Amino acid sequence: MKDPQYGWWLPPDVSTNGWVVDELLSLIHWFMLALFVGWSIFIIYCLLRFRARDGHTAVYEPIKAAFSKWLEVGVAVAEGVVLVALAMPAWAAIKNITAEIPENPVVIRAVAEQFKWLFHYSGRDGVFGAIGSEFISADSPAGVDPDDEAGYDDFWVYGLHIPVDRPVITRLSSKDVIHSFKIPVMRLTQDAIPGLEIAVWYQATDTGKFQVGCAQLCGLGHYEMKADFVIHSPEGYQAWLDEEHAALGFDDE
Amino acid sequence: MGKLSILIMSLLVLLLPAQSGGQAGTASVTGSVKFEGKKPRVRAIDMSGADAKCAEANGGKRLKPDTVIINKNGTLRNAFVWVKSGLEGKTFPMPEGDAMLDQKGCRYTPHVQGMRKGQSLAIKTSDPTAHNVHGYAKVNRSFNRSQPAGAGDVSIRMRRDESSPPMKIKCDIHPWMNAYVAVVDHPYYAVTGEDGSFTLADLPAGTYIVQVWHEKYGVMEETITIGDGEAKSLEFAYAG
Repeated sequence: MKDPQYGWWLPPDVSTNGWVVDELLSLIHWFMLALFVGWSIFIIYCLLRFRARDGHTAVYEPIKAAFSKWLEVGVAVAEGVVLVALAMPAWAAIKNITAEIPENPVVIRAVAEQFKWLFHYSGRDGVFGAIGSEFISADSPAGVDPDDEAGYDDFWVYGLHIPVDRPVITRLSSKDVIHSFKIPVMRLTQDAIPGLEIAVWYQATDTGKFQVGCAQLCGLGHYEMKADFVIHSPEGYQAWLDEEHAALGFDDE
Repeated sequence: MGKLSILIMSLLVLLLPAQSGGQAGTASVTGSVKFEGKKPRVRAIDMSGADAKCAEANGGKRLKPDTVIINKNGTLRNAFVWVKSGLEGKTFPMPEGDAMLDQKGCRYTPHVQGMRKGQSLAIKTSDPTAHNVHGYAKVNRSFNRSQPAGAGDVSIRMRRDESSPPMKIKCDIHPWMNAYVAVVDHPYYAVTGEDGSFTLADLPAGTYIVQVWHEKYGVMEETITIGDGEAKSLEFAYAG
């Protein structure tokens, strides 16, 4: 497994969908650079051209010619078009690429709480126990009904473990305030909102150990709200699941 | 000696008799807290994904939460038993020193405890990681203090009764950490341990309501009348 390498540039992208975000990010950055350089040249030109010098005072009045008026309007319209032409496709690209729910996914619940992420796995039967806020307690932090047999083999951990090359659906919810589920190496950010369950999916292309964070200031301990994000090989994931089932200590189902 | 210090001294002298001069008696109530319900499935806590230092502090071993511990003899641990009423207006000597709450292996020790009104709760950290002790007090003043590794004790003086229910204390960094502290105006309280028994000794004669509290199973009460030198037994049983 690789160690996380978060350098000065973007963190590594180990997801199937991350390239869309990265392409948009670089497109927007190149575009910003072009705007920055263009406007900088214009401003420097104006500073030199209209400065105070021998035989001239500085000119503060804007030019009142028809051409420059239409030029300004033209720039504003062009910028508006560019904004719409960038923002709409960006939104559409992200929505399109994640619109189709993939087949054979791993489903994991993520429950946010000031100030940790808890990950709830459905266990061997692949079925989550009944969930309700009334079941939340110190020995059922994910809010699973203790009397529901489907939940007998459920388990919950404070690190997110997924297999590589297989889609993962994460059903997000929150116990207290709005949090934001952020996995930089998956290029994934989605708010977790109390009272709602929001599903997101992603797929890893490489194994490694990274981090889940919270991208929404959620209180005093926001900086502490992080969890391990471990991408296993398929065999490694199965071994981890077996270990977790053994750790349950009541393998009587 | 200034006027102010004379004033303070005389006030202290006035207060002294009220603070000393206990009215302890010779009666006692002993008993146990049984559990007759279905044993819950309690999962051990995986601390490693949240804070590797917590997992290391426990030698990598996963421990179960202290919420529901059913003893081998069918009794319930960590139940708080106290005299809820019948002692009003009486004063009892204060214990020396502070009540202690330790943070060790990212767990609170003890999980449930009683302390006296007016006493301080000294919250200590023995862990190599940061904690944030957050007291969800409803009657006393609530507190929320950060405690990095190696930090000194946090001392909180409890000025009011808060025992029904006891005050919940949580760590904001490690959500599985919780503890309960009951602040009582007299010394007649106990927490059930490994054998599920309790003793309320040196009680004055009288009629009392004895209450038992458990964080998951709630409260139960019994009324008991006891004379000087008497020893009565009292059994509680939770149905789960």
